[in-house]
Amino acid sequence: MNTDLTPAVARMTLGPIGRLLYDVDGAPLWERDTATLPRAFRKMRRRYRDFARAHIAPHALQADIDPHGFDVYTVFAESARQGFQTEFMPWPFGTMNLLGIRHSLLLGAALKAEEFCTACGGVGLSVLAHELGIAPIFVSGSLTAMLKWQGRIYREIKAGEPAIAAFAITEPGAGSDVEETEGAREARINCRYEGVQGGWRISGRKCFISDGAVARWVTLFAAEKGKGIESWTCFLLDKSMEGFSVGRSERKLGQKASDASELILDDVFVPRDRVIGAVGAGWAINRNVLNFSRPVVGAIALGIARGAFEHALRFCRENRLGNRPLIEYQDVQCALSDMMMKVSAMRATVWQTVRYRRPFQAAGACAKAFCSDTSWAVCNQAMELLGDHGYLQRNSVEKAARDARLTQIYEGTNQINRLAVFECRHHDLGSP
Amino acid sequence: MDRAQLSAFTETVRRFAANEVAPLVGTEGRDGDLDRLPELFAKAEAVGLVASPDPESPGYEYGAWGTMCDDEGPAFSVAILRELAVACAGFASSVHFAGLGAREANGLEEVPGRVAVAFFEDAWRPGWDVFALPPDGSAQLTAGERTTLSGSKAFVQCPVGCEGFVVYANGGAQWQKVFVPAGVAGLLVERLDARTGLAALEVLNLTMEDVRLEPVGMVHDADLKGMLTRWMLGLAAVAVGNAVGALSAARAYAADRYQGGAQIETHPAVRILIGGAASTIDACALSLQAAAEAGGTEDILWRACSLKLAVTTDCCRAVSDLLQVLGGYGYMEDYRLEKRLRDAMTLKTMSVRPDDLRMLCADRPQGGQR
Repeated sequence: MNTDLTPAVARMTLGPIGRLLYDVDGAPLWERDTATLPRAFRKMRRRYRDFARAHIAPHALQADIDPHGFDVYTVFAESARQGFQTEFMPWPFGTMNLLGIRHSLLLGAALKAEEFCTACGGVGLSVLAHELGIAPIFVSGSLTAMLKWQGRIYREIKAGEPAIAAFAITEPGAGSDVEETEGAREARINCRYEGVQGGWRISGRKCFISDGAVARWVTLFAAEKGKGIESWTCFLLDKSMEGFSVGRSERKLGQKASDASELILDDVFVPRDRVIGAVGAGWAINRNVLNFSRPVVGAIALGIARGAFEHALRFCRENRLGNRPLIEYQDVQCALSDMMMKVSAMRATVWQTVRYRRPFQAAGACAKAFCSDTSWAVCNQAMELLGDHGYLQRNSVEKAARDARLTQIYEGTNQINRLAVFECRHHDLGSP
Repeated sequence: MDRAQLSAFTETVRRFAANEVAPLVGTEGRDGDLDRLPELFAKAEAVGLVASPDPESPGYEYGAWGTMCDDEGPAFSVAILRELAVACAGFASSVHFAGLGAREANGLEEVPGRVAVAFFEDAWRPGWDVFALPPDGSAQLTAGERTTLSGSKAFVQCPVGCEGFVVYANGGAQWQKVFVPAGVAGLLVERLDARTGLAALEVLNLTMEDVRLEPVGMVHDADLKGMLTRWMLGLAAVAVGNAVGALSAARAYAADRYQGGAQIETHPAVRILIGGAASTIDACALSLQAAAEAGGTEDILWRACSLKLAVTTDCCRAVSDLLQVLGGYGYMEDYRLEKRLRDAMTLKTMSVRPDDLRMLCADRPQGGQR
């Protein structure tokens, strides 16, 4: 009798069918997961990963230490050259994967977010936030806006211009308020428009706007003077507009490579054709943009957690304790396994969420809140596993933890997201 | 020191923290005005908050981990560190490690004012066996015409302006401690600068290649346990103080900030975050107090390890929840909650991995004696 009890050897004691059913293949989990994707997405996932390794990961640590020295335009340009910055733009004014969207509107975005943010949450967000800026044009369903503005932005990007877009809803006095119905009724809206000949004049301030300082285009939401959020309207602004300026750039805990800036509007004249969707449709557009973006934030959190896990795994392979590599200790294996389980659960949640034909609020909010909370937990586990090495920036796991923490806050705090789940009809959350 | 004296003493430290330390942290910069740190540290020494090996110095007796610990227990040291950490955990940690160093240097000759303890190494895992006897591969003292020291020490936490190290080394069958001046030949120092938090603290890796020294004295098992007890208790005290400061900042914000037409302190989601954090911090503070008051009456290293694990882990979670109360503003540097979270994350991971502490606690025999 063979005394070797390892699965690979034990499998050989079975007959042909038994051996066929017993998978002891050493294929990486990433490859196994990729193989489960629809064909159109398998190649995309590989391309995103290769791009992230070549163009995002090399910037990760330095951009965290010196965010002002990081040139987002270089990464954006390369990403655009590969068609990644126009994937939320349908043909003929973009590179949206038309074969893929019959499976899912968001799977591509989720795969991209995971791969980019595995390499670096900050650099990843700086290029991913552009799609959030573009999203209102697509989500509004306005053919006029798509033909005119999406077409123009696409041409600029295709010509190699840094035509980054930003999405501006948050205001100094209205953060979570603009992401939840109850709060929105009482929101202290600061950004206001009033009708003038040929268009509108907008004044006010927006804050924490991702890519606010580096964007050329901004989809900005403002309410009519004297009215509430029901008058919210989405406008497409560009930085060249008189009276439109960038205020302070925030100093943050993490995701530092991604700019978060204040936008200041001082009586900015906005021509009539810059309205995205209808006047007063801003609230609906905003809510549906969040339905589209929250699963992607879940994927960002997933990517950050996977990055932390992979860094911890590498550290435990490369470092020894006593006369053995760390990874040979049972407690270390338990911790790493636990992290891997959580990462797998996050991926399952995200992939399940983006499989729905259309994004919807309860699923998006669940994916976002679950993945961001879990990502924070995984990154903390990675730090704990490395002990004193865990708080050194050079080992990357503390940076991942700082990056992950933001995913619990943006796109609505996780408390707001939990309330968003129950904004749906209660009886729709269970079985009929 | 009775409770009334301790309370008065704590109030003095609280005033120093509020008037001297907090303004330094509140200025521009990710971690406050670190250029003013030497001046602030000197001020803390002058008022007697920092222990020193010099019997003439103000903090020799009642500074954090000063000699009065022997008679009074660790309660007043814990109070100093907790109150300083309400203003700045980094500064409090700096005082803590200066105190540990001073205490270990007591009785050693010609030791300057600011020293740090170098004990942990990357090559071995902390455990009860290591706390009793030096493991193979640890920094080695070699006797000869003159004693030499070779090996390395990892993550040596130091106060600003540290002038030397009390190094625990393998002296054969026992731990021995020797004083290594900062500039001595054969000592290589690597500064570990880009870190998550506790920026007011310096963290170094030391490599010693045939450093020629005199052994200063044998270290008995009880001494080492005492040092480690102070080490763990101090970190727990800093974690509690840091969380108390976070709670106060989050409460103030919640009372001031309106969402949905009401102060957010009235929102159930926010109340749950604040209430949960407050109860956690309260429980941690009470456990810390109990451990501090038990000191001197029994061997409490096991309790200090358990406390460091539980308090730094729970307080980190509490600070994270309190940051969440501030939403986007919590993530920005302005309200200093992000600094508190970075400090809490560092306290949780530093000086013995949490899983190693768990295993230490698992080995604790019934009755608590080890």
